[in-house]
Amino acid sequence: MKTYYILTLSKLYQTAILNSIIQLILFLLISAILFIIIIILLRLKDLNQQKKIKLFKEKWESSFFDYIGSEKDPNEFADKIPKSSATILLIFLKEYFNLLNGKELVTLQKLINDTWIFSFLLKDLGSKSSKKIIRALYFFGISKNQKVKPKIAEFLSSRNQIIFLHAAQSLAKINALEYTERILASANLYKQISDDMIVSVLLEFNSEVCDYLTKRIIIEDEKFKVGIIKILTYFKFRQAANKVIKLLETVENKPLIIECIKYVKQIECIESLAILKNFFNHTDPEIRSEAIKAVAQIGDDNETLLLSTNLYDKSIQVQIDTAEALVKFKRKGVMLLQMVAASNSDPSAASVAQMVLNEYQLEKSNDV
Amino acid sequence: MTFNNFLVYFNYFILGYFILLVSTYILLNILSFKKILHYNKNIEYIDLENIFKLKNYIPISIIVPAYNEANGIVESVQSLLQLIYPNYQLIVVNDGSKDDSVRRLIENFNLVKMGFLPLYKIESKPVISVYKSLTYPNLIVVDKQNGGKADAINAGINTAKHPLICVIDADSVLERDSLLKISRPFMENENVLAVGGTIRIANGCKIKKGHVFEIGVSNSWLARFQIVEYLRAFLFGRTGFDAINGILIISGAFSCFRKDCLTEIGGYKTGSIGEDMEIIVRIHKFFRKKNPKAKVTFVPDPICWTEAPEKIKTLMRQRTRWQKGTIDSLLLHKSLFLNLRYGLLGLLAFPYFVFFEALSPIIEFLGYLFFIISVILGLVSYQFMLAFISAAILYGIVLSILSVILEELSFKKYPRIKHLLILFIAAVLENFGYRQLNSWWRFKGTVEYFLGNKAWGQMEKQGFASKNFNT
Repeated sequence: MKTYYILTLSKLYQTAILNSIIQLILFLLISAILFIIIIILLRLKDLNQQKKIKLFKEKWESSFFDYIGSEKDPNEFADKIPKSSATILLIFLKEYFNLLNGKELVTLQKLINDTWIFSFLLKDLGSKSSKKIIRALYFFGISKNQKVKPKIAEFLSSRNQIIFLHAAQSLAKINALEYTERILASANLYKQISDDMIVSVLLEFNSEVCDYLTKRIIIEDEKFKVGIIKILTYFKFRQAANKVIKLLETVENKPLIIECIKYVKQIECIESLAILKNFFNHTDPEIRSEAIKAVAQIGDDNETLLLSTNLYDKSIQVQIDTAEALVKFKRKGVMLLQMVAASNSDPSAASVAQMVLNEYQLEKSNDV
Repeated sequence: MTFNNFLVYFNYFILGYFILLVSTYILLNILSFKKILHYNKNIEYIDLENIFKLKNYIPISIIVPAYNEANGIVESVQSLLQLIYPNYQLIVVNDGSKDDSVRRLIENFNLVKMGFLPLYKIESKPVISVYKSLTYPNLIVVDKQNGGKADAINAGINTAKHPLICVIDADSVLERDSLLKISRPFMENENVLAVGGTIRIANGCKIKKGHVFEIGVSNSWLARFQIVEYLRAFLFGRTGFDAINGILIISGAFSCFRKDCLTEIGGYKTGSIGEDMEIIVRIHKFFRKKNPKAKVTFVPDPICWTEAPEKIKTLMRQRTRWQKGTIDSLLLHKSLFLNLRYGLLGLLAFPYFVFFEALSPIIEFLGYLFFIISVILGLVSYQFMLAFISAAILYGIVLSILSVILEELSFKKYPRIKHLLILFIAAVLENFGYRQLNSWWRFKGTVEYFLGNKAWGQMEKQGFASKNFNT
């Protein structure tokens, strides 16, 4: 009786469960088939667009090259192109914005700023489509259009993080320094914006942005401080040295310490030598390594002896970086490495010294 | 309990197993879709050129273990020397090859012998000589006695001077910006210990001088099925587990580690069947005890192209070996199973690998067997069995199609619409025979493992230099 009961019940359950699974899977299958159709249609649309671009190029490329780099009125070329081909024209122009510079780039910028394309893009900026907005932001930025700065700045408060990033990049390309503060303040509101993204934006500004960023070093939170110092390092902006050294004395955040060290190394800041030497005994091996590399870059061969203590560091990576730093001091450093390589006191330091010396000698013989 | 009762309960178990599997895959798919689309959006706004502009990088030592790779080794090294990265060292480890790999390397790269003392104390078979190139200062060749792939990598680690170690198979082809992308997670998060990259099938692509210059799809259906299979494994499986820090395997063909992490655990375990899985499980086990935030991650974008077997026998050997490797690694580190200390890795990822990877061939095999007996005994209706099998196959098709869709939405690697259609067809067809064959090979691997046959088996590879995989 019990067996019969179990079997009957099991069959009922089996059918019910299986029906639900099949329904779920059929739903997924139908969705997948619909997806396949959509994806194939998108591909076909892509192919169609590529064909249109090819035809456009065949028809207009020669007149475009007649105009580019010349003194001609940009409207002469732009007016020939039907407005219905605006989207294709912009795709075509984008390619050249990435390739051209100098006088050619200026004529390309005029084509955006002084023809009907400008009002077309302005209309895009007012549309609800994020795709169109992003396109307009890109072209206004790359053509350094000063007139639309306030319009672009409106998008710094967009809820859409991608639109915000494009707006910020656009303003940076125009070198709209007056909006730097707003860019950083707004960036703080987006959770998923990394310091790398901010760096990408800030790098689009001219070096003048460094003055402004130096003022912000103390105010910004540590995530952005790292980005700011990366920019100062890139532009080799010496005027920030005092503030960065001060930061180096007080800060405990590892990425920030490393960026500060890279900064003083890049600008070869002699004033930072004493502080850098304090980091030789830091608990973090990466910080020790960076400090050693910086001292080797900034200091002279009087530092050899001090550096040599780190040849016996507990981290082999620090030992390698120290040995490579010592080689930079040529004779004095090489002699010291030869002594360590020949000594039996620390096999690991001897291996490292041997490896670095081998490389040095091979390089030297190659130079000869 | 009567046999009939046992069968009923077992059928329930199979049904439950299937439902759990379906739910896990749905969850993994949702996580992967979200993560890949997010990754794609973000990478668009991070200019990789900034790595050069800002000198914002961590130097890498690439280790290429090579055994009897004379046919393609010169082209492989040439292509690896052209990778885009500001500072890297290339260490080719000749693992006692019986061919003339070393001679070819010496002749082509102007190598000279140099003195050698191991930098680390990781055990490996004795090193015969170490060579350095006079033409390419970043190229080192280590010639050592044969000891297997893990042993060769260990010898490479002992020579490596940079803080990151990237391990690459000698017969794989990397996209030129792969190092830039695979090293990013280390710079973004100091808790990252290892990163895996995506492996794609090169069969059907046009490869010249170690570079993929035209992506295509092979004429062989076996290779096409593997393309879909790899898309599923990498885009869904690994990305999904990455979301819960539960990655237990990253491909040995292309992986990147912090060197201090490898040296601290004594390098790769020599003699292990699945060294690429074993090292990852060991990294989790060792480091997450000390630092719960320690992370092994996966980047879906950096792509490494590899040759897939086009012969059934070779594929069978590969799959039985993979199965043995999975079981071996799981047994070696069984203490992670349902271990709360390892978070979701111990609670979800490890049990997933035990039940749905290691044991699945046995459960599947027994399921088929008992199902048939149940039908014969009238415990399960014939229609029910058919419906169940159809559901399983339909589900497989949906999963495969979704992986092709995800590829198209994110990376769009396959340039022609024809390729896309072929992949969709392969996604359907692979569920009628290929998948079942795979389960059989894995079952065979499991049985062989427990019967004590833990041999690797031979892999035949044609090599990129000897053949271009033209469509």
